Amino acid sequence: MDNVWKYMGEFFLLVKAELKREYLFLKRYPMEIISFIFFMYVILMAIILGVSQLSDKGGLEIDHNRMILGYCLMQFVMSSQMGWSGQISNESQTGTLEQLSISGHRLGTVLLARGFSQFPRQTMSFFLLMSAYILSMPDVDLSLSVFYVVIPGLFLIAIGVYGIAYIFAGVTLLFKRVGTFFQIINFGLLGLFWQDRSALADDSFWAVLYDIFPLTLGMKNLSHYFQNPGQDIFMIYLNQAFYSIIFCVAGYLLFSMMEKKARKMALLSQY
Amino acid sequence: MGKHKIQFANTAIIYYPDRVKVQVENITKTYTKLLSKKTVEAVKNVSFEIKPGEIYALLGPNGAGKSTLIKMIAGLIIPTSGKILFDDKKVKNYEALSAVLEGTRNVYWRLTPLENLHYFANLRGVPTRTIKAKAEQYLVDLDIDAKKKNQSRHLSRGMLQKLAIASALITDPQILLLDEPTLGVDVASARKIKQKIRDLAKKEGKTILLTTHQMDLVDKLADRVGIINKGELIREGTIQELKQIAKKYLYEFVVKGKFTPPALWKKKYDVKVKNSNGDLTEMEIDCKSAEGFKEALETVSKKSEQIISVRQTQDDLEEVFLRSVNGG
Repeated sequence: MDNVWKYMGEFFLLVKAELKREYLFLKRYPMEIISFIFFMYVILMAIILGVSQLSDKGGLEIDHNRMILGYCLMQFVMSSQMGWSGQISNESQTGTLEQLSISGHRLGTVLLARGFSQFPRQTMSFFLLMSAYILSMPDVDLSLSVFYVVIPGLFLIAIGVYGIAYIFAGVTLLFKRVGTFFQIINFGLLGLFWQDRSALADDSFWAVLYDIFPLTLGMKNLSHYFQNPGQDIFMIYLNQAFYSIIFCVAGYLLFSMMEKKARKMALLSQY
Repeated sequence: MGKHKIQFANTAIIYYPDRVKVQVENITKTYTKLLSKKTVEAVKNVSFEIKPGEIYALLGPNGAGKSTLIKMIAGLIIPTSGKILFDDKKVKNYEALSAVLEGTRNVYWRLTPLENLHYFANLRGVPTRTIKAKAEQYLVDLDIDAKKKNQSRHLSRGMLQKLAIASALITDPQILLLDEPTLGVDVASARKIKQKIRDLAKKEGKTILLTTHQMDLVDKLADRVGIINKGELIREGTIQELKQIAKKYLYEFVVKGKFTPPALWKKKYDVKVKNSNGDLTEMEIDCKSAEGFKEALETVSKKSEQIISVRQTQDDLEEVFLRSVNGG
């Protein structure tokens, strides 16, 4: 039990250190976030414009709510997945990855602490992006007044996403220049967020996968938070937490194995 | 700082109960190339020990395996075989250790020096009050205080190196690994760093391993030196021991008048005539053995006008190092 408290105490220190660093970056480079949100905003607007022109011609039905929710969640997910991978890649060049590795904390724990410390910024970006669409598209029926239900939901989704981010980070540790490859995968994941769960037969393999994979399950639950914020919320949180923790732990273990391999191959530093 | 002094009749022994001994036992690191399956032995069966309060220097040419060895001690590379022990125990946690590795890296370029120090100290749970006091002190000590609010990416190479050293020191490590600590640093700062390293070992009992190509740094700082070449530790000892091992029978003869070494000597000794101006001849003879010295002395006394002086000399550390890596 003492060990658990000791570990928790150390993890708290780590989160505190990372929060301070995150705050400094946020204060020093606010334009980085604003330009990122603007860039993401423009991309989806271009997609929506293109798709609506197609729909005018061919009767294609577009659910703007689903599109915007899925897209905002994708950028939320992407900043963890790409963020961890990017940090591993950059820090192995600057040498700080080695410093983190000898800091007395496991590299996986440092990444988790970073995930937690980046959560406020990611959540802020999520809501800012969503506000931009709500303000600029009158037919969007999403209300930000449910933020108090959405924020804990996003946190639980983030834990599941960390599981995937661990795998991205581990692969980066071993193979280094894989950023572009992951960028493509991330945009590919957009399809998953836009997938309509109701179109899948309940007992099909894909439906089962949809209901346990943190990204798709997160999308399903996020839709629920916006549509029926008060309904079965505790059970939904519990369900999301269960699968997210499983994915996070599995990701952590896989990352630890890849990290060990990287240490054997002397891959913690440079290229 | 745990530091105890035991007073005996006429001597005092200082020991540091919270300080750590580092043992490297038969460490080997082999890399296998992924496609060709060709193996490269970067470090071969290396063993040495560093006591608390000792400065151990690793010397070796580029690619000799020094950095690999330092990284294995830091736990950044897992050895293929062998053991690394801290105080006779297998290392489970590296929080006792800090390292400055290779040049201008090790710090966050988008943070200021002060923020870097706070971040690294925070990671290790150093109390905020201690951080504030120590950070300012290190920045002043290492002449970085004028730039403490500039982002680290604007610092010069030497400044970055000093910042990396300060970041390593602020966590008060028991073991300090320094890979080329004064590389790119100006003369005045290098002197301060040397003094700091000496104080850390001698006043605070820290265990220090350093690698460098700067012989004067080793000569002035190291208690013991290991010379590593092609992954093997080929020589080890104090600087005095190494100088003697390398050239035990090196003598300097000064004789009156002109002296030409006999042709026969070419096969037996290494002779270097350093000065011959007609009045005096000054030469250095590596006699190879005690017998050789006796013979050389007899020959010189017979063939010279007068022997003015005979003195046993030593190679400087650079010469010892070069002889060692060249198989001498």
